[in-house]
Amino acid sequence: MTIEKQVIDDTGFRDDSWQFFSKLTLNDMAKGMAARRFDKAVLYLENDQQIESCVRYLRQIKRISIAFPDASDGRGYSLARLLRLYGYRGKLRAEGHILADQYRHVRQSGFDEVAIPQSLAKRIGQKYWLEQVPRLAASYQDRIFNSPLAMRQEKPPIGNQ
Amino acid sequence: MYRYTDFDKSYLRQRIEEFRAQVQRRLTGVLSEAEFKPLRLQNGLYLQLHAYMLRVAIPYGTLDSRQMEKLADIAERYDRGYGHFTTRQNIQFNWIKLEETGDILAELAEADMHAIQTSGNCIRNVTTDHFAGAAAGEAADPRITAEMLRQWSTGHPEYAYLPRKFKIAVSASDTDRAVIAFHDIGIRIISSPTAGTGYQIFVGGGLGRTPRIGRMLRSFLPENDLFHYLDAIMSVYNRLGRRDNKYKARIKILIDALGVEDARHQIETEFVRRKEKLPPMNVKLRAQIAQDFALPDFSAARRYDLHLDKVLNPAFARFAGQNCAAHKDQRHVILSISLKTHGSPPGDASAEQMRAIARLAKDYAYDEIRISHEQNILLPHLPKQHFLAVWKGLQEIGLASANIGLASDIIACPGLDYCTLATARSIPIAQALARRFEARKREEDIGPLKIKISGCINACGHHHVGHIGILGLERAGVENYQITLGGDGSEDAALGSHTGPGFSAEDLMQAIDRILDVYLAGRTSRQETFIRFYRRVGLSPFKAALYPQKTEAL
Repeated sequence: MTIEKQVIDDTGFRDDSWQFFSKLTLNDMAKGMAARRFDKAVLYLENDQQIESCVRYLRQIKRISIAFPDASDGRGYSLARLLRLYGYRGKLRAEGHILADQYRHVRQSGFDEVAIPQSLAKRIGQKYWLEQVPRLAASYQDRIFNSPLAMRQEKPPIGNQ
Repeated sequence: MYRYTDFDKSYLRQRIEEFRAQVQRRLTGVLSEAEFKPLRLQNGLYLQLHAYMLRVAIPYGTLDSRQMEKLADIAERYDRGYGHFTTRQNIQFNWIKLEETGDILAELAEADMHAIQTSGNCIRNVTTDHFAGAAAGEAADPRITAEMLRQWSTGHPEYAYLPRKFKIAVSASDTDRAVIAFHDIGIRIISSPTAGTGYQIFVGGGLGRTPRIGRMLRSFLPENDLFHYLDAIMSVYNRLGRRDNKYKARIKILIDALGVEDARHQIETEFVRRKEKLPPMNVKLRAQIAQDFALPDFSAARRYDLHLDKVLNPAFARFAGQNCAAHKDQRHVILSISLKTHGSPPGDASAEQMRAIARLAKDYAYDEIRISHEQNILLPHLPKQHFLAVWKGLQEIGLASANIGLASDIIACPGLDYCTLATARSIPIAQALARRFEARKREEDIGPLKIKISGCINACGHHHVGHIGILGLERAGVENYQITLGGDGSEDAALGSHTGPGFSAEDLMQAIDRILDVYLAGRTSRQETFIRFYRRVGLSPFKAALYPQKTEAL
């Protein structure tokens, strides 16, 4: 598999460690397939999918990628929050047309990392993404809720990492 | 008034630094215009017909003299010496250069102001009753909730890319001056002796091409549950709202499609999940904000009878009679300053006028100013003993029109003079109508009347809720104005009904005259206001007067 996407997290540009895992869809899960291979798989979700069918597997799944077909389509943010509310604790990736300016939204909605096409990564280089990292701590929502991303035993709030 | 914390200040600095970098990347081509657009919109920057327009937030319409003076500075330094107050209690500067926006935002931040989320498909500036804190009988000061809403919605990671813009209004009074029934979410603060303070939640109201009256989702929501509940509404809307057609993307269309019952069920399910999983609301923060909104110390105000001032000065008496509302403290009045001087563009104020109002507020009225959604400016707490002096000060700057609530107190969108979406002019129509009312000297006789004008179907001038609504469209290259009657944005919410075929700009003047003739000839007494008269007689007598030939042919 050629490297056509660029993975980015708080440390900057990173190699894609998911490229050798098998690919799962909600459809596969509905059919009860691959139930024993979760530790070696990535669940790929479209941003308009109803996830109720996979909720009972969320404790076993380790990796989920949510598609962002267009930078102005914000459904993925709410889908990520919903997965975290349902108790998903594995890695969560936002994949598609995402701008550095949206890294804050991605991270504060419960994602760990993004994956963008190499063509986009060439134009919006690593420095633009790293500029965003210190901004993640400032959150009005943390003030309103005493840390909304805490979600009890789930992930620590972004601001306290 | 709310005092910015260190957090607010550093948040603003960070946002400005971020925006400057975005502008730089746009100017050097790293960002395409399509990618830059949502980013500039979330910072209040529009590209209009002739230039960039910057819309600056005035959260829930409250500001002090320092902030008003800052707006005056910006009008002078970066614009053409004036600003335009909007129906969302904001101000717009119409002649802005992209390269200067970073500096403008930095100057605004010096006065704890910003342009965040005044446009774009996100939660917009929250509006409330312009009488907040000054009117009698409020369940609470709605600005406390409005400020909490400002903080909750500012930079909310989940709702920065909604299907469409999203507007929230709060009221705490039986008399709804915040038009909550026509917002994506309308919040009414209520107080019950048994359950305490809480909220009524309305959803899916709106104007535009599919006008809807908001539907009640909850008749009582406990105070501490507000943000879990709003998050539930927003999350359902963000996932399920339509994105294939911008005219069907507002939450009102989703509520229509799901039906209120199903929508309520989905939202309540999401609410329960969030209540269970998320930490509770920060009640300490609310208590701090509530302290900031404590009323000014009124103890220096004297008991003062305005009677003598009025007798000695009939023009002042007329002004006081028309532009004042009762304050909950008898030593004060709520004063509305009309930005609808006959013949001038509704909502416009010059830098000198802004500075003069700032000075009057500081010298006489506890340094507090409000902007109303009806595009006027208020001094919410004016001691009666200073009223005459303030009136004289307003006369000096040409802002002493005694027409609040009358026919010439018109709401109008910017229309074809500024807006890329407009299909017709609206400001010149408002100006012409106001001049006509002035010339015929009959608006006092007509009494309370709300005329609202939109220059396109998007209804930024709120024509659907005008007692007389005017909608400017384009027919084969010619402006054509349709009339609706009987709209009402108050607690008796109603949508106006179309009279029939539209009129040219010239014929429109005569048509409005005819409508008013029908009312004046038919009302039982002056107590029967235009809107009451309309509710009694309906559309038909107006139709007969507007379209005589047609009616005869039938």
